[in-house]
Amino acid sequence: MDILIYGTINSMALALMALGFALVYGISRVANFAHGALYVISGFVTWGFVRALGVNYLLSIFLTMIIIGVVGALIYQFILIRVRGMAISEIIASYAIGLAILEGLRWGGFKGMTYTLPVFIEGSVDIGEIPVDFHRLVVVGIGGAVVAFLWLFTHHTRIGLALRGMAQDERAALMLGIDSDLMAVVAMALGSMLAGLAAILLLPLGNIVVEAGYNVLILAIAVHRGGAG
Amino acid sequence: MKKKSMWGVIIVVIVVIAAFVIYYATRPPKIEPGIVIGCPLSTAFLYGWDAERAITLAVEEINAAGGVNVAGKKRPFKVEVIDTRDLEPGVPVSEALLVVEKLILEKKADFILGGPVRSEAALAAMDLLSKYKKVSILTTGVLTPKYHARVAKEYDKFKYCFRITGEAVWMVTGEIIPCLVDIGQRFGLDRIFIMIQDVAHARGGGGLIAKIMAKKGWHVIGKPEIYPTGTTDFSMGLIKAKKEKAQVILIWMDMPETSILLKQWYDMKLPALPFGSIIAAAEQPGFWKATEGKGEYCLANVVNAGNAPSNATPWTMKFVEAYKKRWNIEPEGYGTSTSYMAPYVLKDAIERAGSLEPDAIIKALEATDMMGVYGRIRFDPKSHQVIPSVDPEEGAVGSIFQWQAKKRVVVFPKKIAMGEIQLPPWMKK
Repeated sequence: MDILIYGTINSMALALMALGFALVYGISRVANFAHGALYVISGFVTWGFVRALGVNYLLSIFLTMIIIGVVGALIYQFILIRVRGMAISEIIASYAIGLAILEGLRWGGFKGMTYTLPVFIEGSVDIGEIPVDFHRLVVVGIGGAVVAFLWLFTHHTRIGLALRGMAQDERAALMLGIDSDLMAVVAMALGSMLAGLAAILLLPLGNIVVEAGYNVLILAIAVHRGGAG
Repeated sequence: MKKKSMWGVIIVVIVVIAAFVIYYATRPPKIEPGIVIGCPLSTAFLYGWDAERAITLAVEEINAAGGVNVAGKKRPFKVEVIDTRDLEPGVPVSEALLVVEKLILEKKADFILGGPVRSEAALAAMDLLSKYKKVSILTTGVLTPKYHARVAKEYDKFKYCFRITGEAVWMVTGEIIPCLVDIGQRFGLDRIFIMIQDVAHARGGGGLIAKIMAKKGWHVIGKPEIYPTGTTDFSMGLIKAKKEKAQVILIWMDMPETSILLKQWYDMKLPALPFGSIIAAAEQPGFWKATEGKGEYCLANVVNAGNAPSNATPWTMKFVEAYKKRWNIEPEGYGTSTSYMAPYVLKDAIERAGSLEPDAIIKALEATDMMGVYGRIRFDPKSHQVIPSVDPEEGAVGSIFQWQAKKRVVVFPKKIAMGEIQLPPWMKK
């Protein structure tokens, strides 16, 4: 029973970490090696709003996701678009951006283990005889909702269908008037927001450290490749 | 005409003499060249920056008091820090060695203080130090007993290497085990569950503790649970601990994710006392606030006294206050008090030796006997390891504290304890 419960929780956590990476790669075939950096910087941005500026937690989450989405879009629009189609160059460019962000955070003094975010709901509940904290249940709930939302988005909205079209056959999508570069920007923005959401959901379980950026990138790639995208 | 020329010469001579007098009277005093202390440290990590800050503080104090007397001449210390990154996952040992070599060859370090911090890197650096005949004092990290064992075994080659901080064997046998035994006797506890990180020092230490506690009559639940660096969920281990009715959870991890472990422990209200042999997240003063109190009751070993407030010696709280004033935070990690003492010990050795010549310094360091921040500082003459004790009058003392009411309260050794160990309320019978 404990393996089932915590297996589900940990699987959802891994899925959340990988969703953004998988989306960007699936749509634009760009392996975004800055994914882990976007995850970590989302945590620090939220921390800044909540702890340093005293902004309402929900508003902070909303603002963070917008900011990270814009950052992702800008990364693609100004850097990755220039090396699109050159796989190695895409990896090098995105990894360099990720490295710059993470090491920049370290250089800026964001070191140590005392940066934390509050959990959404305090306390725990016993499921059978297995104690589970409420925040982990929230992670599962929101994770499931995000997956469902993405399915609905990609099946029942114009933009979502355009993204799917691009993922299936870019040339055919171009012939149908879908702007592939614009869709790639949208995918990158969405992927970055998903990285931000994952950070906001998972980082309250521990603390925000720069090293997590490298770990999350590895996990996202492993999950993505393991599930064949 | 002759008279005019004579007066002209006299005036010129007077002016030249006056110029010389003014120049020599007003020129700044000659500054003796600094004694360069090279510090290879992993500065982005706690066990690196704690050492950097402490060395900087000590050097500032020493220089403000006039510097080091080297055979009658006062010379300041000059610190050169380079980031080895050796605590970061995936960084090869060779990076740390390059840093040590750079400090010696480019920065012209006279001495090496601080790191490298990882045991593997420090062991590899010993050959470099021997090659360049550079006296080194390790002050942080490097818990492996192999370090001083190597010095003792090949003294002539590795005599340049000293360690002023604690090591794993004493830490386990002289501090952690007696503390656990004391907890067992005081509260009637005898079931221990061990959770360790998948790194060499944790595997070694965790295994040793399991063996010794079993011999002491404790029930050691299963084998030590091993977690890879970066693990973000400890629920399986904690649930097992709960099912098996563990009363003490022994933790040996230097990764930041230990905060997740403690939060999970707290949320589950596990009736077991968390005991951190090494538990990096809990060592920082900001830990309680960061976890919103979920780290309360956690015990943490910070290896050397002075890394948490105590009255181990008359110097301890002076150091704590000075560190707080300089860096706006209490000492943290386990390399702080030792890194602070190292420049003072080196100063003392240089002044007794009357030179910077390595062999003279080695002899002087071997004869060191001073009361420091964490007890009496003496080195074993064969292994160059600082001599430990549970009595600060006799040797270098360790420190185990417990988070109580937002504060780090030193609870062991008894000679320097500031409070008693407490059980979480949900454990009390």
